[in-house]
Amino acid sequence: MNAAFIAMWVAIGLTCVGQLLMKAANMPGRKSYPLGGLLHPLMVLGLGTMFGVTLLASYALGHVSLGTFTAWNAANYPLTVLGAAVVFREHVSVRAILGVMCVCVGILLFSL
Amino acid sequence: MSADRHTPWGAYGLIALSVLSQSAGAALFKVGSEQARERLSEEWWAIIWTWLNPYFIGGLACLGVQTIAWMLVLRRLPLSRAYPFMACVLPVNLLIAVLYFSEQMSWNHLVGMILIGGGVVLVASAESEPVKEVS
Repeated sequence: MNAAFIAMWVAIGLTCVGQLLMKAANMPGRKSYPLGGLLHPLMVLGLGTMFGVTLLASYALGHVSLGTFTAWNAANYPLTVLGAAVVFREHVSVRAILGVMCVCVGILLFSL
Repeated sequence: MSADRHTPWGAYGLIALSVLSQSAGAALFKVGSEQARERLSEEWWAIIWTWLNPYFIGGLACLGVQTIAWMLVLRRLPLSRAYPFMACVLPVNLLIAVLYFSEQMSWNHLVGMILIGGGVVLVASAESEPVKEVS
């Protein structure tokens, strides 16, 4: 399997993980951390993860076309919404699911 | 401010700031990259100049604003409700590309933009957990 595709898929998964970490750092009732919460360990980890995503995406984009990358990247949205529903028990309504599907189809069209 | 069920307009304002600062950052990085490319044939110091380029510094500042704005959004809205809004970066980037960089907009871009906008409106209007406005 192509290493660039693996880097792209890992980047997509890590984007979801990074967003979940940042959300966990900003949950109600959190402890106070310096710089308005920017130095919360989970926030630092989340931002570090997003930096890793940037590096992986830069590598992947050197070998995969932007259109293919953007199309696959649309998977971020349902994955993150699903992650939030599972990890934080957030309520996701049918309308929200339809909205996410619309966004994904829109991104796929964008990348054609 | 107490927890309530009203629409958190402040959070939507922060999402708009987050989207706009990310798009502005991308545009500034593009201008900076184009200037840097013109100088790549020059001496080694041109590489250092690239990182001192005001457009790159402006782009980094925009990403800083985006990070802080997004952090504040996450305090106010559930992730499942806030994250789909970040797809608005694509149409905003396209508008900047068309208006500022004179790039072409195709039909699939236009239809994609409408679908992304429609999807974001659906997510925004969806019933969700009560949200807390943080003072």
